[in-house]
Amino acid sequence: MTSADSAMVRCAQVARTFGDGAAAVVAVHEVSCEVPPGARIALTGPSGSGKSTLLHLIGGLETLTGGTITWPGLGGPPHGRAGVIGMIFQGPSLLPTLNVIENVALPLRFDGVPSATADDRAARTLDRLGIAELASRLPEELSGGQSQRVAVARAVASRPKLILADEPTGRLDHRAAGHVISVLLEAADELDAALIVSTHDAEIAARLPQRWTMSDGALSSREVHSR
Amino acid sequence: MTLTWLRGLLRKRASRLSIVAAGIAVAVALLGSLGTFLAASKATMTKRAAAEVAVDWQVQESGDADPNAVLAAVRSAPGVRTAVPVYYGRTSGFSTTGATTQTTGPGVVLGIPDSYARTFPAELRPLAGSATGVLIVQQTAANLHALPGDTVSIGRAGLSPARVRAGGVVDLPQADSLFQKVGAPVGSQPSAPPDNVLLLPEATWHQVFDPLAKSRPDLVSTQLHVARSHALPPDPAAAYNAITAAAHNLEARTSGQAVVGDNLGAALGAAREDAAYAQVLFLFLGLPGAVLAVLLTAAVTGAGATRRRREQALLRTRGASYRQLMWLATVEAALVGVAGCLAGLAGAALVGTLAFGSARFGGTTATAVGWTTVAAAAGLAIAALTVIVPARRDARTATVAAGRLTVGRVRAPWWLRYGLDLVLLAAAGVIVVMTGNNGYQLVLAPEGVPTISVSYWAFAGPALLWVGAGLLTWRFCDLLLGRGRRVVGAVLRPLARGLSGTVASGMSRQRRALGRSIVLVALAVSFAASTAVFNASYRQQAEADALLTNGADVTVTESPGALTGPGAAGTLAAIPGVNGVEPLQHRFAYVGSDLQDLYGVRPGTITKATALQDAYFTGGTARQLMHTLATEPDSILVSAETVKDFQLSPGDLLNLRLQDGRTKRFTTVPFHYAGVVKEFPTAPKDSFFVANASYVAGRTGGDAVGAFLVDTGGRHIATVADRVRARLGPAATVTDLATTRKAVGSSLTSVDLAGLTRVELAFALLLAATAGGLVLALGLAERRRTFAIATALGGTGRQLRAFVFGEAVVLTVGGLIAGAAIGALLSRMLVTVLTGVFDPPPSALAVPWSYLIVVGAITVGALALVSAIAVRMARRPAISVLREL
Ligand SMILES: Nc1ncnc2c1ncn2[C@@H]1O[C@H](COP(=O)(O)OP(=O)(O)O)[C@@H](O)[C@H]1O
Ligand SMILES: [Mg+2]
Repeated sequence: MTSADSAMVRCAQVARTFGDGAAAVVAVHEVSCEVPPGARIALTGPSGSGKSTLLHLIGGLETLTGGTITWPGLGGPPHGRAGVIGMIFQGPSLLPTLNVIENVALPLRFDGVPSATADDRAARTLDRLGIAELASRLPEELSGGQSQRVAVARAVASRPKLILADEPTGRLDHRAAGHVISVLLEAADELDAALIVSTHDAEIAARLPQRWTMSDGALSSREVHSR
Repeated sequence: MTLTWLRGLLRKRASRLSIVAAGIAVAVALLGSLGTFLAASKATMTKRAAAEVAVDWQVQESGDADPNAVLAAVRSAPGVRTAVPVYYGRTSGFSTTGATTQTTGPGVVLGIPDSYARTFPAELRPLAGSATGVLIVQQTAANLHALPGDTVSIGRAGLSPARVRAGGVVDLPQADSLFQKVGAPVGSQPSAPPDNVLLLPEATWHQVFDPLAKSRPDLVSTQLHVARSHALPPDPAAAYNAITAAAHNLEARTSGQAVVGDNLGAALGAAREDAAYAQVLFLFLGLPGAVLAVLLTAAVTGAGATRRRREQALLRTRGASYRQLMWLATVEAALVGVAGCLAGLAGAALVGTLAFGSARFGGTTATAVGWTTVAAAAGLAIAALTVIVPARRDARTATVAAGRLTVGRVRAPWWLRYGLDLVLLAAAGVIVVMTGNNGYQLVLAPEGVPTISVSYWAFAGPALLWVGAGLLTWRFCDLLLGRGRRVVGAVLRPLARGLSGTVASGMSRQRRALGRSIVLVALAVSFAASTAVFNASYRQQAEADALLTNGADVTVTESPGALTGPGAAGTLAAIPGVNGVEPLQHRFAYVGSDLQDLYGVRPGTITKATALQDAYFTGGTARQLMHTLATEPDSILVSAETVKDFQLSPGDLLNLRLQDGRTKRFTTVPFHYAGVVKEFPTAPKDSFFVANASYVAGRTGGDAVGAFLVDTGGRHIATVADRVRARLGPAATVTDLATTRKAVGSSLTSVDLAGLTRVELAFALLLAATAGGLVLALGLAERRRTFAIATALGGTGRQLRAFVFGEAVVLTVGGLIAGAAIGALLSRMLVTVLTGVFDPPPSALAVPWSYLIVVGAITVGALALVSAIAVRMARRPAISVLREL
């Protein structure tokens, strides 16, 4: 069912270099790849290999220094279209002055959804992820696992067709990490969305059927393993 | 480790450190420049007070003293430059025989050495004829119709009159002290100097009075007039103590044969009172500025708290001990402290040069060094307070969890729960009422007592009001941003549109930080506003004082006894530069046995040439009372004392006895009491009357005018005065406002305060603008991460601006409104509590709108600039921002 034209994202010779001259760092080097609809991809590689940068490029958050990216399955570039891609950032990313439901509703509000509707959808998302009781808490009142689940909720509340999760389990203990991955997979299934999860943890990577491996900015291998 | 740490500090936190240093610099510069200025103006007060005294000491010899011994003792006393004998003889009266014979009542004849005018130049002012020889004092010359060259007879009790030839006419500007009763307390001094005075050369005086001295020794006496060295301690209080001690010392050494009339001491005594007021002003107006600078600095270090805690935790994990952490904090404090002090002192020097043309503010090097030291010490203390103290607290107590709790559901601060703000405001009210019961007497300088007491207590009133109102503002912000967040959201709707609710709830969660920022802005704005209003009111009253003293831009005072009618106004009005001329009658009226000045005005036009403030009257506004004088011509305004003495109530009949122009006899004129007058242009400080000029003229058969008030529209006053002088010749005295302005009042005059004003207003402006810009910048810097995440989540530029500008708008509007309100209250209280420095007390505050508008505009501008920069910075690729933080 993967057809070239319905790919969510297509990267051709994509490159990103930081700085210039002697201090230049090639974070992503001539990566060509395609994310089909419904994909479940684990993006692995050692720290510093360019995983985050690649996800940011795919998410349209980082400028290219080479190559091209297109988003045929999303109806064009995601710039200025809040909620088209669900993004979960490496590190804490909830707005500290907004409570959980306001955080989850924020991309919807950015997208122009009226506040009542946005709140309603955010509440339903929280409910679906089983964290409805956190709705009025502030980020500083959440544990690490709870924060990541809220971040997942915020990423999926806008019903995106592509979910990018950058080391969503990086700071979590084993149990919490497993739980967050389950939540992500369930949400992706429910939305029928493509999902890319970056991780340097082999066990986490094993929960997804596809694995892309990066080293030194290049996509060194792409494999599909049966579950 | 220290060096590595320092290098890292300088590299990574250079901007924050320099802001802290700048805050310290502002406090140091403010303290340094105000302190040096204070010391310098005190020195000026001493110099001026000394320069205004014509004869420093008048030493009275007791009857049985050995004149030569006393003279030798005085001349050898330390600090005495010259001492000359001056002889006082009482005459039964003077007379001249020209076409008609003119005689006067009793008077005084002074015998002075030839060198007198050179040694004591301020005592004699030559008006006409020769400046040496026999000199007639102006009023006596007028009474006798005598001119230089005329012969004057001096009546001598029991002897035949002596005849002398007048050489010139002089004025005695300091007649009061010249004819004082040396050694007598203030209360038993003569109420006025003698009306008739003649000055004779020493030898002539002896010829005239030596025979009298034999028969009537009680009618002659000798004084030694002393010129002292004016090398005095710069502080008026110290100078006063030095001079009075010297006077007592002289009296002791002559074992009571000489009594010192200490004119210099009296002048310094007045100056030390003014100096104490200057000090109070320094406290009232200068300290809040320094406090603000400290608060701003603390806000900067406070905003870096999260980062500091993180750093400390990191150092701890690498094995740093508590002591090492404290050592690093001390190094940091020393770094910013020294940098701030150096910058502040350079700033103070710059301010001094700009405002006074000298880095020493016209003070001595010693005072400059002294204040530099004080300011620098304060700067280091501030550094310690704002850097070491928080670091210490964090190192002691902070856990990572506590460090995280920066927003949200923190409990209201304890002072808010206990209503400290309301307590402070109530206390401020109580203190003001208490100082009010005391007549707002802030400075008590009893004559002859070396210590001067300043009621610093009164300072607590405005200080508590300032702090209390600041905290109350915080309470309001807390309430508005908490419970009232829907209101805030609604207000922000035009700006934030769909996001207004989100923006408002975000702000409500950080209302503590935002409230603190609003309070800082409000305190800074109110400081600027109240300082400006106070200074403007002070200037307004100094100007009113000059106008009260001189009467108008230019005032023509007729010689006593001249019979110039109001028609002469036409002559004056024709002089180029004259806008209008207003005749002002001046008579003397007996009420009972009391002789008072009476001023006859044209009530409809008087304000064309002079200003009447409502505060000059009670029982009606200036306009109402002038209207009463016009519509009921026999009404009269009297002093409060007269009302009390005669138990008057409005409408009561008051019979005065006035001299009739035709018969020169006193006749009774009926008036009706219409109101109380406390001050009036050209009128003396004690009791006087104000009545309708045409009624007085009609009842006394004479329209003689005492003075003409000349309005020049405030332009070319000195030039117009010269023209008037040239036109009128010596027949009348012409005084102008420009000269009076310099001379009136205490040494705490506009000249002194002008410098203080300039310095303070500049600092206040700086503080208001910095407060606004800085707290917003700090707040936004703390939330750079938030803005980056919002951008990464797809927020557009406009949506981001909603967050930034929403906060800026709340800060600006809240800060300015609260600042204006506190400023208005504080100005009122300052002017009330500091009534003592105002002469006359103001009826209305002067509001310097242009300065206030500039303060508002610059504060808004600083906030707008910071917001614009923040928005621009948030446009940087969000992901790189997130990586850096
Ligand atoms: N904004 C940036 N500026 C400079 N270097 C960067 C930036 N972002 C990433 N890099 C560098 O690019 C490389 C890849 O980083 P990243 O994509 O974060 O790797 P990963 O997510 O796999 O750990 C690293 O060497 C990193 O230092
Ligand atoms: Mg990464």
